[in-house]
Amino acid sequence: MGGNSDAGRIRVGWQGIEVEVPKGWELSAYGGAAENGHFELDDGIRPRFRLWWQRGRHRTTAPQESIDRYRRSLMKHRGDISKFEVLPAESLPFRCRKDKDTAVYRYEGAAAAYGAAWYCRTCGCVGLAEVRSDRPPDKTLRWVLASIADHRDDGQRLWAVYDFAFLAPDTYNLERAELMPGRLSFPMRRSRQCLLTVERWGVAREWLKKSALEGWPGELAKRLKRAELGPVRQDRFSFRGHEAWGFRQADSRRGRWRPWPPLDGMVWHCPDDDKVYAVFGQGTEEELVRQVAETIGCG
Amino acid sequence: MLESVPQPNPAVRWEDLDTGRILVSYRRSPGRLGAMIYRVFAVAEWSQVLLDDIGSQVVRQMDGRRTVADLIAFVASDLKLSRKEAEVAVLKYLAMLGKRRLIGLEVSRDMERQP
Repeated sequence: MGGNSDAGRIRVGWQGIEVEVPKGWELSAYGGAAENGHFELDDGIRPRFRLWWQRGRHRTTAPQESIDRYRRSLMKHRGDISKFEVLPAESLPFRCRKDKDTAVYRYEGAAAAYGAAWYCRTCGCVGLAEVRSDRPPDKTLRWVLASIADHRDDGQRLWAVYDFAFLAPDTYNLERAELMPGRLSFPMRRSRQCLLTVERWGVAREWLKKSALEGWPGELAKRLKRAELGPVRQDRFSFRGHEAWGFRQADSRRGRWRPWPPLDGMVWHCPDDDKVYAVFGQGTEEELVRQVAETIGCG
Repeated sequence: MLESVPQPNPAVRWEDLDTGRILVSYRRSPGRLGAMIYRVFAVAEWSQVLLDDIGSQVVRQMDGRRTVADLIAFVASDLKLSRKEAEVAVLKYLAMLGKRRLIGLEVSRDMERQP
């Protein structure tokens, strides 16, 4: 499982939304949560793709209304829009309109764009996405709009940014992503006591100079404030031919009325892409850590 | 920004160490009041910064021709980072060097004319 899908194209996944975009477009802004939010991709120079979504309670489910509201806001805030037109929904392929009410638009100005608004009758998601291009709008980029998926059928969510991709159950909601150079961290919570974290550490050779992989489980337990709760049992194994360490700590009642949930995790080093990957959970389902780790592509 | 060319400050001493790192020595410019305080408290006139391995490699790439975008591409391929990760890291690093006046950014006339 990986974020790459086709030569010259990558698959981006964020908060349950998936979209295929040209290689080089990367996440540059995001906000909100699974219920509603937005994200933006840029090509290193200018913004190229924007998407807003809302699940559950929405002001309207009619795509045409979403477009009208967006057009009014665009006209109010940007004086350079010369032409805004609504196109027939048929300008997008049928496969991406299935079970959806869809409306398509385009505008021209300092930046030109193709966009689409939709309401998904299956998952109840209302969304608006647009692809920006140089003038005139590049029709070939319609495939980006056509590739948008707002739900999956397997109860999982794809998280795929910065050449890092994994699947996690959709019952786990992202708390706050930490996307720093050299370290991507996705802490996700299902309930108060149930936390799953997936991390990727870049430039592993530098991190491993400070602490060998064997010491990472202890460091992670310290970070989770669990080091003093009891011994962390760890054992070495091979994961996809790479050095890996699994670690586990039983639940503990020390110092608290409510028990600390058990800790379960694994960390491995892939020398081919010079990264360390860590997946660990507190109070998560049996084998979930391993299942999530299996979806991470490395090397 | 991405098309500008970072140039090491020639008034700064860039010393290659055997460890592969670069030791940067530069003279402080404290201003009149600062100079007095420095004299009273005997603060050293020269300041030194020891760049780490990655920082040293980036500085070695600054040959007066490579642009910021080239440095980002270099870091992304050398450290196997995504373009965005490399971009954030390099821009932050250049900002740190620029704040200490260890480097400057050369902007070509063509770029100045662009809107």
